[in-house]
Amino acid sequence: MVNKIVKKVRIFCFLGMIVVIFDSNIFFKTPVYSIILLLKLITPSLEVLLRALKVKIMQKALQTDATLVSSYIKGQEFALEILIHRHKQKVYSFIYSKVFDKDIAEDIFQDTFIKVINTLKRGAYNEEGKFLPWVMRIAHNLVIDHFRKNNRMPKFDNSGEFSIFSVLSDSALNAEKTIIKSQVENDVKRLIDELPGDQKEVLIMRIYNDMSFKEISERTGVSINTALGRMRYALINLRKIIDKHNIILTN
Amino acid sequence: MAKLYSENSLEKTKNEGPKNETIKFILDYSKAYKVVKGKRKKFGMLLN
Repeated sequence: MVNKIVKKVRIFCFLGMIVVIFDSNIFFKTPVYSIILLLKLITPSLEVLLRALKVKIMQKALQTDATLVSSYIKGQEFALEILIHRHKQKVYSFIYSKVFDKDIAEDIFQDTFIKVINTLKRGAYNEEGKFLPWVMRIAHNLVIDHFRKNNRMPKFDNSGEFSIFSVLSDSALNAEKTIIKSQVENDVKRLIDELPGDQKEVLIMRIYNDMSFKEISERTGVSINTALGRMRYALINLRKIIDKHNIILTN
Repeated sequence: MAKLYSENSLEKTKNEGPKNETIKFILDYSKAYKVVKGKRKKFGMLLN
């Protein structure tokens, strides 16, 4: 359908161009130059027109959320844009009605769709024609997380003359680094899960449980050399998996 | 008796959607986020 309309628009523009050229009498004086000039003038606007037309047709053609989700999973980023624009008001209003703070609502809205993207791209979403309720459920859970976190954190009312922040320094990682750190840690855990059982066991005992190779050998009932060998192969295999899939683990 | 209106209640009802920057960030994140399939697991990563 898109191709048919694009063809029609092209024909229409071509005919319009011919009319302009012949009507203005330029063609007979400088035919080649006039054609090149007109093509140069028309091409950018034609591209914009075609793009706008394509957007409208896609919006109409891909009406249901289910179709859009399916297109997005197949790699059409454009479908996500439509989904977000379609549901942004409902999702944002829902979050705002709970937190009553624009900045927090923005943050939770952003986190909601990041979770949506992660789940969709991992292929972990089961399409049951309930995209919006699913997104709302994610938003709801994130709102609850937000309130739980706030209850755990002690609050300081900075209304007096003394500012607590003048004596406190924040040594914690910023939000971006925290996300990267947790992502790297998760990736490493998944990589370790890919290792054979005996190598995984030694690696976890050494790195996560901080056990010596002597303790590992006693626990697993193998010699120290075997434990050392398993650790060595575990690291080699991890590097192989990382190289094979071009995984970047940096903080 | 005359009805009373307050400016605050009017302000509360004014509810704008998310900022364009937020939506742009989400779309950029979506473009940058790739999933690589391992033997049994899938790995998500951000490519700039």
